[in-house]
Amino acid sequence: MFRKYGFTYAVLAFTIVAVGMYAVITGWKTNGSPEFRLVTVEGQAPEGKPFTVEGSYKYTRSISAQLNIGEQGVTYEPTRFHFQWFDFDTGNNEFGNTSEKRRFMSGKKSYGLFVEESSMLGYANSELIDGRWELDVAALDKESKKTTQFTLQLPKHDRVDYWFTSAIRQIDKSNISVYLGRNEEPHSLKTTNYSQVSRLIRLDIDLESQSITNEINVLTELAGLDPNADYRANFISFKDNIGLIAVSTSNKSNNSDSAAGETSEYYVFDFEDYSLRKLDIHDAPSDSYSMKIVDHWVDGLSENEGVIYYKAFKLNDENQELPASWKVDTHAWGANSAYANYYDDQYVRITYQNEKPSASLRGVALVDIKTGEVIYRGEVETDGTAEEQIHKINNLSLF
Amino acid sequence: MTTYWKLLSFELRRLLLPFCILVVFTTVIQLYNAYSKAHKAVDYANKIMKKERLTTMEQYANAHGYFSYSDSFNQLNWIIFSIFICAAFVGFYFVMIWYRDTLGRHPFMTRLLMLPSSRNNLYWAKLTAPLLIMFSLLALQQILVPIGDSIYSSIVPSEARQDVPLEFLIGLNPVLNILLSNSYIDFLFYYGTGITAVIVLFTVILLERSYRLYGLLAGLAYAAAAILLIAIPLFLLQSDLRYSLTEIQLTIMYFVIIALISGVSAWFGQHLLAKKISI
Repeated sequence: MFRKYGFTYAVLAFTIVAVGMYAVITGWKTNGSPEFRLVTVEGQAPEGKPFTVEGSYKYTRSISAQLNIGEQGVTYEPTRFHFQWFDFDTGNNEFGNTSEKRRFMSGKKSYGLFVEESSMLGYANSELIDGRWELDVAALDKESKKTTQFTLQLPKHDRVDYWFTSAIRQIDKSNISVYLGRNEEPHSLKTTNYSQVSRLIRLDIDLESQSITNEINVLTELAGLDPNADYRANFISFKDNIGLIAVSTSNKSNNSDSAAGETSEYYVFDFEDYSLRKLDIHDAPSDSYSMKIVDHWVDGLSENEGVIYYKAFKLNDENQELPASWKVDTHAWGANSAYANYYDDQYVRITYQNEKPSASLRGVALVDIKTGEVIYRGEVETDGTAEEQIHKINNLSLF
Repeated sequence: MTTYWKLLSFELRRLLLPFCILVVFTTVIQLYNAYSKAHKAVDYANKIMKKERLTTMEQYANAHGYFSYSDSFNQLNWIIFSIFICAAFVGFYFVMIWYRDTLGRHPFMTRLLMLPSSRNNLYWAKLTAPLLIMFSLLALQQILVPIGDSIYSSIVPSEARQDVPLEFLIGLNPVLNILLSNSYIDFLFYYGTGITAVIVLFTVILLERSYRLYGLLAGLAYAAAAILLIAIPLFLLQSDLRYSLTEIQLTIMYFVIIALISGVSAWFGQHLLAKKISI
């Protein structure tokens, strides 16, 4: 019996192994990934969802894994290719959360800009077709359910390399504004380090006549900037009807090709009344700010040699109370560099590290934006000998 | 059931020799690949150490970088070659399994068709035997990756080696990435599509065996229609209806389509085998 059917049994066993391994394979295949855990040093993480910090672990020069470290340990993000019908469309899958929106998305480019206004769905996408820049525009009036869709030629300009869409706003039932970035060659490579500069352009579009009715260089018209000046302008934060515009310049020092550094200015743009106001950051400790509009002010975070600075800037001239400025010096925690970003509207997350082989350190802190108080601080620990621990921690980066 | 079991064993026994050759071939090629890559790395390091008067592997690694078994996964190499040979054999055998019995002066198929049981057993035995061989080779592949990794690790000293989890090794290789897919959905997707293709191929072969040239033409038309049906989700994605269905809905739709095609093709194939085939 066994002699007769032995091979059949063996093949069946192999098949069961092949298919059955999928049940246990995840643990087996990820075997060898280092274990990390976040150990509380001071304070307590906010209640609610378990606090974790994202990061990446570098196995070799070209192989690294994304991970999340919490008190319970580490979870690695899937690294393998997964079949997906909508490859690279993640952002638009978020927009398409209703059948009405998904219907609106039909026939449009996944990488175009989709927006939802109170009474309109909007779409715009700029593309270079046969050497001419075109703008696909679509708008759905939520009340009448009427969709308008057409293609326009973008205004011709010398030196233009690229157009990209930044924002869409409804003016009235039959008019919209599309805000575009226009990348150009700089006017003088002798005075700027930028190989490309960018203008912020507003195009007013009549949906009925399907034409551009007005073209405005926002910073020239509203802030009085020289139209030939070499700068980079783009929206960096939106909230309701307000947009924050960063304008960066990078001038070369006199008679030298070396950079004299990059300076940034910030403008608050009101989409409703088209007003533009320069943000006063004259007493900022650093030029390189990470800015975000919150309530009636702008949060500004910057880092300078391991010290994190926070400052709030007024959105308008009204006399309103602002959160106090604060700074956190991560050297006190044994770090030699740090990075800060917004955890949520209430807290700033600071990741800090020391890359000296003798004092390998990776940590994370949560700071209350309003008070500057460190409410939680944790550091990453791992297993193994002292040497192995240093090796693992050195290959870990926290975001 | 007994007849099916006997026929399956019979078909598998016919595959015993080629299967053993493939197992030995794949094992030798892949393990030798790990062994030779490791020795090449160590020899290269020793050569450089001698030239630069370095005394330890650690010094070499600090100066010139680490070795990793992963280096042999992200390129066309012996691993892919051995997989290709196995895949080519299995693909060829899906066609051969019918023609080896139906061609010749005294075809063996006449005896098979005269068996006193449903001919459906014959159809399913011929379908499942090569599939089982394919899954067995897949199991072998799953075992060979960690064994190769162990061989490499045992030869290259840890001071000069960077270990990479198997998950990454598999992910680096586009062929292994699909063969050893990392989720049940992906597994069902790839292997479901493959098995459907085999069932359609069987239908084409049985049409040809039943009606010769006209059957072949009809079979090709049938296969083209099946491909068009399977490609419906792709056509949807390229059309104005791109966003009319969600990711999950498209996946369900795809599985329904391949299940329908498999079901209809299997039924049609069995019908041809039972009523129309001529030797």
